[in-house]
Amino acid sequence: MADRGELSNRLKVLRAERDLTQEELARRVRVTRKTINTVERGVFVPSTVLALRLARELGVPVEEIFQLHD
Amino acid sequence: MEHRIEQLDRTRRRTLLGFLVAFVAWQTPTIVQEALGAAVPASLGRGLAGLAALAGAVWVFYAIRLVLLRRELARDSEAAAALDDERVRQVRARSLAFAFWALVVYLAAVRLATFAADLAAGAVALGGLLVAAAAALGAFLVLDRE
Repeated sequence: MADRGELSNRLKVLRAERDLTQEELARRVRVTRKTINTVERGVFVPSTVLALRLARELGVPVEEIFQLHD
Repeated sequence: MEHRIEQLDRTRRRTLLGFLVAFVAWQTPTIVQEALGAAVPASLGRGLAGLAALAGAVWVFYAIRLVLLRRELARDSEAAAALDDERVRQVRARSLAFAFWALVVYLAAVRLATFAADLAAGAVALGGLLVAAAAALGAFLVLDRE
């Protein structure tokens, strides 16, 4: 499992580019807005399933949202 | 307009907070009475009993609200799933782990205290209940913050 420190994400940027609110994205991927907020801030590392749902909703590969640091 | 899931999340948080505060306010005077027994002056005893009764009534109110919220979620599977998403499940597991360790510390403290004083069994039992419930609910509310 990736530690929070070695994982970054562009979720906030990609969401904003699509004019989606946290609440709207949360509704689409069936989680609470707080979950989207904590993922964006790197506080919560989502499961593979949620990462894939986010990628599908945003229309990008999952690697474009989440990146591992070496 | 605020989405229904967001409203339900806020309602759950407020209800759990009220449930926790009322439970602590209900159990604390009861524990004091159990611990001190006959040493409690009559007037103070009546005051503690009244406070416990009032807080107990408030706790029942919040317990009913929690049951109603559960019933509401039972009719709305989408909201129920969102309000029990993977982050919430993780927060719940961490809260229960915290409550377990809080109870271990409490029991160790009680064991040490028995070397110095005789403790009322009722107060110890209620104290354990209070520590476990308050630690689990309190940790959930803290960890579930943004």
